[in-house]
Amino acid sequence: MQWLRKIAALFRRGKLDAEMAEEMRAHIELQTDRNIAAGMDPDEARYAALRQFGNVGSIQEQAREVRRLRWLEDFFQDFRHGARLLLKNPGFTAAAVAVLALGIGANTAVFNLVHTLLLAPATYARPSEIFRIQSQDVRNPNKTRDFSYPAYRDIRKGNAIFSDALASALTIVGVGEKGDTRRAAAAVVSANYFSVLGVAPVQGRGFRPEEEKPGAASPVVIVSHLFWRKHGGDPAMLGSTIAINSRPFTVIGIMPEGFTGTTSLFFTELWLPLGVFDLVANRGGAGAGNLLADPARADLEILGRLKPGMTVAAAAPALRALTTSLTESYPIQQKDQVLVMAPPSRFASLSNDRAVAWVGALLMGMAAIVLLVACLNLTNMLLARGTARRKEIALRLALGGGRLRIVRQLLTEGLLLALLGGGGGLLLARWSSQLLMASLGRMIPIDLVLATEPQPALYAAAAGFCLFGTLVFALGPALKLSRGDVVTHLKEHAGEDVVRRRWNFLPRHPLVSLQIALSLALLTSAALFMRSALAAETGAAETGLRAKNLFLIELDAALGGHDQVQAQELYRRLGERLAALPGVESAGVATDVPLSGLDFEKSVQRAGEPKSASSAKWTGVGEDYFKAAGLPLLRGRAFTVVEATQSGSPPVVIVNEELAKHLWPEGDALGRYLQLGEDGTAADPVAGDRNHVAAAYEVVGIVPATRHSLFESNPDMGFYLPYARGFQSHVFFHVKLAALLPGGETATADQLRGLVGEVDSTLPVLSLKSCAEMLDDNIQIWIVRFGAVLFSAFGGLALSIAVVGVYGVVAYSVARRSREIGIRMALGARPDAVQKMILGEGAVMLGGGVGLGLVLALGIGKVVSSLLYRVGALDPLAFVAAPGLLAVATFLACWLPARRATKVDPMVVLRAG
Amino acid sequence: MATNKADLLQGTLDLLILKSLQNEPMHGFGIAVRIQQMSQDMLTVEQGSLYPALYRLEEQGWIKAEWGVSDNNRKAKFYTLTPTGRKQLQAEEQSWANLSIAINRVLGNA
Repeated sequence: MQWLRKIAALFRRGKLDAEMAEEMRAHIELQTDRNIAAGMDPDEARYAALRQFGNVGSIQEQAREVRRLRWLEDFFQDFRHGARLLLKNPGFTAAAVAVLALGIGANTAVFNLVHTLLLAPATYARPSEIFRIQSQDVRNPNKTRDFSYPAYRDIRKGNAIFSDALASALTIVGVGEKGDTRRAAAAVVSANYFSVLGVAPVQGRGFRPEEEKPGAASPVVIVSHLFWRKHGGDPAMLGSTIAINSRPFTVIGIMPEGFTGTTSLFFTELWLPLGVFDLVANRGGAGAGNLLADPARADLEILGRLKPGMTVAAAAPALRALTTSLTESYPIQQKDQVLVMAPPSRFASLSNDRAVAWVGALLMGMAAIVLLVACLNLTNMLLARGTARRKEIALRLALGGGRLRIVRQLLTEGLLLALLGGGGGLLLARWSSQLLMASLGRMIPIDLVLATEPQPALYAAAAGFCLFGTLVFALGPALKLSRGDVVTHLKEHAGEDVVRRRWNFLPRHPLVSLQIALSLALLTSAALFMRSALAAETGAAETGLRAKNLFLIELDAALGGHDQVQAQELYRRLGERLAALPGVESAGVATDVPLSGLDFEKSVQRAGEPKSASSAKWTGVGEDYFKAAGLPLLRGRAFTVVEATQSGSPPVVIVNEELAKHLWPEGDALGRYLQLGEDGTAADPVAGDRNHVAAAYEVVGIVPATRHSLFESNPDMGFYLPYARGFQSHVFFHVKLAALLPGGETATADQLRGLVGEVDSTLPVLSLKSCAEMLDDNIQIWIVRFGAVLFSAFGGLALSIAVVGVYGVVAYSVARRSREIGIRMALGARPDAVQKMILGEGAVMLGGGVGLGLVLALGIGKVVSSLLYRVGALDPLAFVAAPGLLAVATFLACWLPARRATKVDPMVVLRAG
Repeated sequence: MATNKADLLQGTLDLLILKSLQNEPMHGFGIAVRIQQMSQDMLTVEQGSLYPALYRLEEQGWIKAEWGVSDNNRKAKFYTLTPTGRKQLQAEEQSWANLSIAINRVLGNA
């Protein structure tokens, strides 16, 4: 408690000092009185009292020592002193704070991203006890899948590992009425979901066991805190109804603030009981019967909470026992399957988080380099300024100031700068996070939860970067400047460059060279990523479709509450109306578009030859799809209207070239038969799948392969099913126009949108874009572009900071050496020789930096090469452009001060000396 | 005038101050005079030691200070022994007694 009192005393210092003086004056007066009483005359008595007392000032100082916190007081003193100095040099301060704010801002923003994605604790209780169980294919360990509801019941009952296990399936639902429908992420969950996660609704109740049973279509919903707030935050929401996929659901609970379910990038906004799975799950084959009770499905992710004392190692035998019993119960589905256990993924779709962790580490590394460059730059600025203060420092040392005290003062000044920079950095980080969210939000229709408000962790990170920065940029100069050769510094002209250098051939300013090197490394990676983004734009256009005047209308009849029969009829009518529109050449429906990120996979084999089975991507398409999408039929024919609209028609299929080559390498695929196998992947199986296992599909056509993913090197094998057999409620209408309507793309889009509304006003239009726009908004391209933007930002930052640094150092050096330059010119050196000398020194600095930087860039190129798109790690263009840009910028930064050096007037300078 | 501050054992001054305050509150000057009287002029306390010691004892909570008026109507700061200060005084008296016995024994005086 004593130090608390001392801190308090610090703020009452003036008052305490006055009291002390008063007390001592009283002492002297009392002594004087006594001396008078002893017979002295008043003046003599007073003089004697003063003599007896001693040096008042020094006694006060001694007394003060007892009372105060010396270091804290010194710190405040340094702080005030530092603040005054910074205010006196506004130019220097602004430059330093800006440089630091950029460095700290970049780091804080990246930290925010990485923290949200990877580090932020899960929003449920004791996350380390939660594990996910998946079924793994023995023959292909990369293939894992989840479980059906019956399998979940058995696992929950029969396992010795978990105290309890929950099941959940993520889905997208339409919320709201008719035109106002928006998409939201929902989790369809078992009744024990909240108890297993250890989070209860703050208002209302959780789900009841009877609400999870198949067929129990009890329309109840629990909403997230954010959802509740978005809808007015009215307490009366509890008990009210909201429209989900056009059906009324009663709100029975509101979750606590911050609970986001089991994923970390986006909020789950709604929780629904498993009993309504068939109504909202939006899985292939909706309306085809009771999906939840179907043991052939694999929709449910299972998470369990470990029993007390249970470990992953101890769970292994129990897991084997569970595998055995499950295989007995489900001999078909669990054939060649083994159960595996792992910590749950933080993302909805990735089965492990390692790739994201790697990218996160890379981003942090890049941001750290920017901060390092910023710090090096500040170190230089402080050193340069410090040289001017050498005389002051030497004076303080000569007068008995401790070296530690001087170092501490310089460090405090650095901290002050770092704090200002950190404040600016936080603002920048907040702004750039918002920008990032806005950009991502365009891509993904549901809520993303990347906190843009500064959180405690963010403050801590920014403070950490500030401290790190202070140590890096202020400690070195502080130590160097306070190493006092007092006499020399006092004698010589203040601020003159008199450092004796032993190795003259080395760059005069190694820190600047290091900055140049680091900037070059970042610039080169920026160039690589930019090349990669450009390549991706080209790559995205090579989809196999003819994009000219092609519009895509994304619809989901299930979000409007339609079942399969209604949806098919609706789409048939819409197709007719679209095709009848003037200017429209053809319109066809399809369940997928290239680069959509959706993957529906099935195993296919030559009829009767299970050995030929392999996995291929499928799309359900209408009869006019190929014409509308511009996909030419190489052989055979398109689907007929009957095939496309009636699921009872003879089974036919159209394959792409890749699949045709794979299945029938020796001959013609046309007219041959193939079978669709059990669906082992997490992708959605086709309606009525099991009934068609034995059915042989006749190949009626062959088309060129399209590209499903930006990153695939070869087109995937794929095939097309008639829409009636390959039904998905979520579709893309491909509308091909002869020419854009008058008014351009916007008018065309409006007209198409209006037509959809005319056909069915309840049908939400999820998106309506031209094909080119659609490809442009693609998430994979976004990732590549995001990389390019990010690295360009980092590279640009580093470059501008380094150029400012070079300019500053050279300009300062010219200013300090004006005497030397004056003497040289007085002795006959010509201006261009002086300019050459300064430029030459710059060139050495640049040369050293570029040499080291290229080595670093090669290293970084190797590291990021797996993230590049069709660009090698040694891309010659990037390796020429980046150093070129850097060299030009650095040359300019040297040339300006060098020109000033030639303007030095010997007479003026020498007289001033 | 036999002793100067360098000769005073560390902590002895604290003991003397506490002792002089045992009976009544006193101001700094009074304390210095009292110590001198009690030691029959063998000890004088230098102000340079007295005031830091007073502030230190106040920090410890053994004495507390109040402004008052002296006998001859001068405003002065009076120091009072607190209950913990009283305990501290007893403890220090005891340990001083032990120490002096021990030292006397070593010197062969006992």
